[in-house]
Amino acid sequence: MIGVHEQPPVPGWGASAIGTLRRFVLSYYSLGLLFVGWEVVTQLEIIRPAFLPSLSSVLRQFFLLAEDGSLVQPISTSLYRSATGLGIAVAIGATLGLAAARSELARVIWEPLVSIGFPLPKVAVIPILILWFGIYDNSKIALVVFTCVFPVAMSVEAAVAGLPTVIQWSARSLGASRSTLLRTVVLPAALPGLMAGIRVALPLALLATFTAEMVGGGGGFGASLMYAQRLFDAPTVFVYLLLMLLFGLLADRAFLFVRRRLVGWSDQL
Amino acid sequence: MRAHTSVRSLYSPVALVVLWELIVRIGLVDAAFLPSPTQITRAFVEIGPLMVLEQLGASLFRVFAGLFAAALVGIALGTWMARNAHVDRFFAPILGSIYSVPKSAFIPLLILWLGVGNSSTIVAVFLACLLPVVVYSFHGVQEVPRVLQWGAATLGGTRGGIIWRVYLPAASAQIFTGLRIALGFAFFLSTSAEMIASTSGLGKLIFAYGQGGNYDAMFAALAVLVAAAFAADQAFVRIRDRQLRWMPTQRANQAAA
Repeated sequence: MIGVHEQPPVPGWGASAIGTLRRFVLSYYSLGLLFVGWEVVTQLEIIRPAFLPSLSSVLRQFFLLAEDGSLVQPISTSLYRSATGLGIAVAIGATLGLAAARSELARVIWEPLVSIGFPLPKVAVIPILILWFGIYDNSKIALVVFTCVFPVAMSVEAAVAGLPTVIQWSARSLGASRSTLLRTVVLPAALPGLMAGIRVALPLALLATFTAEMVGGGGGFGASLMYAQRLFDAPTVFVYLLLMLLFGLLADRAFLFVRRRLVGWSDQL
Repeated sequence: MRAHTSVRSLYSPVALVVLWELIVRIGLVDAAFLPSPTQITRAFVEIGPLMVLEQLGASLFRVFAGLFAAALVGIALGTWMARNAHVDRFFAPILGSIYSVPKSAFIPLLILWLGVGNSSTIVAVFLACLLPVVVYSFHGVQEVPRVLQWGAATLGGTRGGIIWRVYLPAASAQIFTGLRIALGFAFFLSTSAEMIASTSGLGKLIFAYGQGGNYDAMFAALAVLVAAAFAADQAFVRIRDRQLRWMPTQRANQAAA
């Protein structure tokens, strides 16, 4: 991603603790500056605290909320919705992508639906999903599935369609049956594509969940954020905002770790 | 060949609409949950196509104002970051940490700061569109072969001239990809913002009909939004292909994408 200009290791410093620390400071100092700037601007009351609460008051609010346990329910609700929706989307998307790449008929049916469904702003169907699935978990999960199924399917389709024909011919001439070919050649070849699709879908799953909760209510992180905003409780709004930021980052990091384990052999990382 | 594929690609949407009409007519699905295409068309005529188009106009203004600003800032910042290690080191952690944040989380904050209306929605669209544009411009410029830069410099190109006439054209395929992703984000964010708090726009219209239980009208407004997003994406692809005609690998890229 961004950050190709990595700090080169300093000669003589090696992998020592100081060298690591120096690299860490050099690559993250701007975030530190941002946080210090935020605190200074609010402490000097250049900006009214109702508009921008100070970093320290946000942290204080976070510990208050963490202590009385009121963060647990929204967090677990939202994560459950995101994870379930993403799981279903991966299962459906991988199947659709595979079918579209291997069968002409599936492709003819699927492709036009992608060209309409993919650019559609998915939030717009929230009122329909609420009508069909109610206001709680199911409508949120349905929105996550609808949002995430496209990147997963498109990426699997591209990976399978890009499989060199020569490899398939070799497998066939070595006596592989259609099912063996699928199991030992096509599915492994689809795996890096599936991983790439999941990486795109993961933040979208969080985005869809939070947005659905903000628009339609029904509990969870997004609903709590909107509730705090209606009460003009700026520190709590920021607590939720920073936590959403943290979850997005952690999800991506966790995913990269899992991917290295699963498809470390692929050269497409 | 082209005409053949485009006719064929209409089969499944048309088949879908016919199937939809049939399912509702036969009574497999309750029309209260899923109005038939004819009911939706009737509702569209009843609520007034002009009014819907007016709301569509309000939404499109927000989408394109935010996207345009993000394109200007994003391409410039991405290019700068790719050319200057210090700039990259400053912005990379900031952009990296907001990359995975659900951008709609900023909407309540922006409403608090800028009030309900055009400016808060446009800023939300801008923020969401900025990241894909920066990331793709960055990678595009980063991957330009150094030989091109040396060649241009040898031929007497100035710094600005090389960026304008070598880097940006060579990176344009990537930049277009970033802009296309941003276009999708722009529609998503403007619709979200309109649904959360707004006095106009298609998102507001859909949400209001949904809350009021006028589902036929809700589906009609949604259909207009779907058509607008689809048309914008298709138009974008046309423009991109026209602009990138000179690129020898474009055909291969299209086949891959």
